[in-house]
Amino acid sequence: MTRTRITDPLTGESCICIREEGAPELRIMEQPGFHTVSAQLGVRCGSVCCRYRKNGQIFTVPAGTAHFLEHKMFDSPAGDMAVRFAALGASENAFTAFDRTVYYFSAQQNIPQALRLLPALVQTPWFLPDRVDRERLIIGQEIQEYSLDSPEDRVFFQLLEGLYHAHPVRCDVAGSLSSIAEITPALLYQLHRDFYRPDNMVLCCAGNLTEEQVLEAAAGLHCETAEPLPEVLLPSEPGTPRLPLIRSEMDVGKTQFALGFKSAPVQGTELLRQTLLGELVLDLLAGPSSPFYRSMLSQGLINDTFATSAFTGSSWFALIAEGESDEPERVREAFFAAAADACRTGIDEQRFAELKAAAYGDAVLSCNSPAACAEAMLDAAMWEIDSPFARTALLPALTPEDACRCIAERLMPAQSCLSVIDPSPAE
Amino acid sequence: MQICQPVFPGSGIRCTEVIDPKLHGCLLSLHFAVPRDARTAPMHALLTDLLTAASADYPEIGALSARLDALYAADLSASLILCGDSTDLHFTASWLDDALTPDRLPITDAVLELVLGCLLRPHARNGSFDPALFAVCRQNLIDEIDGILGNKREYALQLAAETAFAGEPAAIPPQGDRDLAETVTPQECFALWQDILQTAPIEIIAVLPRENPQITAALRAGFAGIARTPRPVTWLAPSPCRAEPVLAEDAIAVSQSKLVLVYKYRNIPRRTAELLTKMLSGTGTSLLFVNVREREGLCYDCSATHSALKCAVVIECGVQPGREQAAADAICAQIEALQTGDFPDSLCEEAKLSTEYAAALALDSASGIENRVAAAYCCGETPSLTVADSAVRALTRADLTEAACRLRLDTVLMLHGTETEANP
Repeated sequence: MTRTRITDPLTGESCICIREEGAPELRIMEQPGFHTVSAQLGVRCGSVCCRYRKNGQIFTVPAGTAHFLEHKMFDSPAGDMAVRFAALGASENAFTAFDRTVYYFSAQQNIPQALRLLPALVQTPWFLPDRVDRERLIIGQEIQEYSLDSPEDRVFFQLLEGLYHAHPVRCDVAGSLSSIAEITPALLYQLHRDFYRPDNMVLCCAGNLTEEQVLEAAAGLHCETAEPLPEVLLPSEPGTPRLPLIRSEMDVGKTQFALGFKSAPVQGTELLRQTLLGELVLDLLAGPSSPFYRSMLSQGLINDTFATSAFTGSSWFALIAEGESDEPERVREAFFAAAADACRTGIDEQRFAELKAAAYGDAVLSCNSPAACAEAMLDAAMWEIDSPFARTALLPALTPEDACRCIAERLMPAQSCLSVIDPSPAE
Repeated sequence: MQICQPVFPGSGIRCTEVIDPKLHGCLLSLHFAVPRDARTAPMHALLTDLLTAASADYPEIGALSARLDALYAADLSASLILCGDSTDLHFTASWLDDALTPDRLPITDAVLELVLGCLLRPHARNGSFDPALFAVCRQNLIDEIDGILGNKREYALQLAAETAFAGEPAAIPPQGDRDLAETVTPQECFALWQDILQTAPIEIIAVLPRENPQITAALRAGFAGIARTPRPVTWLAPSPCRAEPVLAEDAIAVSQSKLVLVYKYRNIPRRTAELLTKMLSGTGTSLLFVNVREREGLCYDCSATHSALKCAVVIECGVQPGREQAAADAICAQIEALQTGDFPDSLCEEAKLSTEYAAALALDSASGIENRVAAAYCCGETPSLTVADSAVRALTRADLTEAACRLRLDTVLMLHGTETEANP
C-alpha cells in the first residue's frame, strides 16, 4: 500500500492518496470546517465501453448499457438502496458519463454508515427481469425528455455524430429507444462482472470526515480475481470530421447551433494541459471580450446564449462554440476568420494573461465545497493525474506560443463540423 | 461562522454580513424588492442585462468582462426571482479572497468599485441607457422569451402559472410579455431604474471569509447620495383556490407530454408545507419517486416544489403520450396518501433528516449561505445559521396529515406530445 499527501501551496488544502493492489484508489480531503461530506465512487465504465476484449474474447453491448446498469445498481436483494441512504439522511444519486459511472452521496450525519453503503451499492448486482423491463420504461422517458426533446442535447449529440465517424462517443450516453430495447439482465450482469471490479474504481471523499472512516468503509472492496482488466476496443477514427454540416428541425424558438473542432486526443497531465489551453484559446478568440464576440453581438448574429467549451477525454478531443443564431454559417465563417487572424498575427498577450488569471481564480473558487473537491479528485484520478490541484499548477507555464500552437492544431476549418437545429416550419 | 448586521444609515436598506473562514472567496448581493406588473416585467428583465454588461466606466461591450477576468474571475451577475406577487431584482458579485490571489493583491476594492459603478453609474446619458447597448440587451431578452419554447418543462410550468394564478401578478411570465418587450424604450428603463434606486427596499448580504469593514463603508458611501423614500413590498400573496380544479390542455411538437398539477392551501405553517413537499419528492423514499416513477414506471422525474409566498405546491413531470391521465391519477393518489395518513413513519423521519441535510449543505457554500439569509428575510424571519430546526423536528404524523388535508387541487395542465415516431 502506498500513501501520499499532496498539498496545494495556495489554499493549504491537502489530498491523501492511497493505492493498494486489487483495491480501489482512495483520495481523501479532510475538511473539518465544513458541515457535510461528499463521497463519489467512480467506476471506469462509461458509455464508450460498449466493445471490449477480455481473456482474448470480444464482447459487445448495446449503446446505453452502462447507463442502464447504473440505474439498476440501486436494486438489491434487500430492496432499494436509495431507501437505506434516505434512512441515514444521506442524499444519494449516480450518473453515467462517456468514460465513467459515478455513484455518490452527500450527508451531514451518519457518515461511517453511509460510507459503508457505497461499496455495497456497487457490489450487489440484482437484476430481475420484470424490474429491468420497468426500468426500460423509465429510461425511455429519460431519453425522450433529454435526448429527443431537449434542443440543447440534440444539437450537442448531433454535433458528435457529425464530428465522429465510428468512435462510440458519438452515441448518446443513455442510448436510444431501440438500443435499450436489446438490454437484458444477462448483459447487465456481464458488464458488471467485467468492469465493476474494485481495481477499476476510485473512491473520492471530501468534507467533514477522517481518513480512518474512509479506510474502514473501503476495507471490504478488494478484488477476488487476478485477471487483467478488460481492454476497451475503440474503432479507428479518422482525423477529420465525418460531415462539415449536419442539421435537423424541431420545435424551437430560434435556430440553435454548435460549431465543433475535432483534433487528436492526448492522455494524462497533457490532457489537462491541452484542455486548459483549449478553454483559454476559445475565450481568447470568442469570449465576451473578444472582437469576434462584440462584432457578432452588435450585428445580431449571436445573443447572450453564446458559449464555448472543451469536450475532452482520453480518446476524444473537441473544442466547441455554441449558441443561437439566425445565420449560423456566418458565425462559423467569422470564427474561422478570427482563428486564421490569430495564426497570422499572433494573439493578444495581455488578454491571454488576464484569461490565465481568470482561470486561476475559477479553479480556486470552484474547489471550495466538499462536492466540488470530491469531483476534482475524481476527475484527476479518471485522467490518471495525481494532484487534484494540477489546474492551478499548470497555468503559469502556459505561454502565448502554446496558445498559437493550439489554434493552429485544433481550430482549423477542415477539423470542423457545424450542427444546426432549425425551427420547424409553422403549420 | 458568525452573522452580524452593521448599521446602515439609509432608509429602507438593511445590511447583513456572514463571516465564514472556510470560504475561498467573497460574495456580495443586493436585493431590490419591486412590485410586479405586466408593464415593468420586461424592463426588470432588461435591467439585469443593462446593468451588468457595461457601465459608464466600462462602456464598451466586453470591457467589463475583461476587467472581471483580470480580477481573477470576479463575477457580476443579475437575476429576477419571482417572490409571490413581487419581484426580487437581485445583483450578485463574487470574487477571490485577496489572500488567495497569487501576489495577495487587494482586489476587493476594485470589485466594489465595479459593482457600485454598474449600479450607480450605468452606461447612460441624458436620462437614457445607451441606445446601442439597449438594442443588444433587448434582442437578448426577446430571444430568451422565444427560447422558452425549447425548454418544454419550463414552458409547461409557465403555462401552469398563467392558469393557476390568472389575474394575479404571479401569472406574468418571468421575462414579461414579448410585445411589451419590443416597445420598451431606453428612457423608460432608465427612469424605472432611478425609481427603483430611490424607492425599493434593499437587502444587502455579504458572505466573507473574514470581517472587512471597507465593504460596508463603500456601500454606505455609494448609497449616501440617493434620496430614498422606500415603498414597502408585500411578499406573502396567497392565491385563492378554485372551488373545482381547472384542466388546461394543449399540444406540443415533441415526443414527451408534460404534466403539471398545482395544489393550493391556506393555514399551513411554512415548515409543515416544506416537510410535506419533501415527503412527496426529494429523497429516494419520497412518495412520487417510489410510486409514480419506480412502481408505475410512468416517468423519469416527478418533482414537487413549494411556493411559501403563493401558498402552493407545484408537481410536474414528463410522461409518455397517452399516459397523462394515469400519471395525474397516480400523483393525486400520493396527495391522498398524505391526507389519509397512509404512509410509513419512516417517510416522515427521512424527510426531516433530508431537511437537516439541506440546511447543512446550504452552510457549506457562500451562495448557499446567501440564499438562506435572503429566503429568511423574504419569509419575514430572522436568519439562522444552525442545521437543526426544532420546529421541523417537533412535527408529528398528525400535524402532517391534518395539514395535507388543506391541500386543494387547483389546476391541472397537460401538454400532449405529438411527435409519435419516437414513442416506443
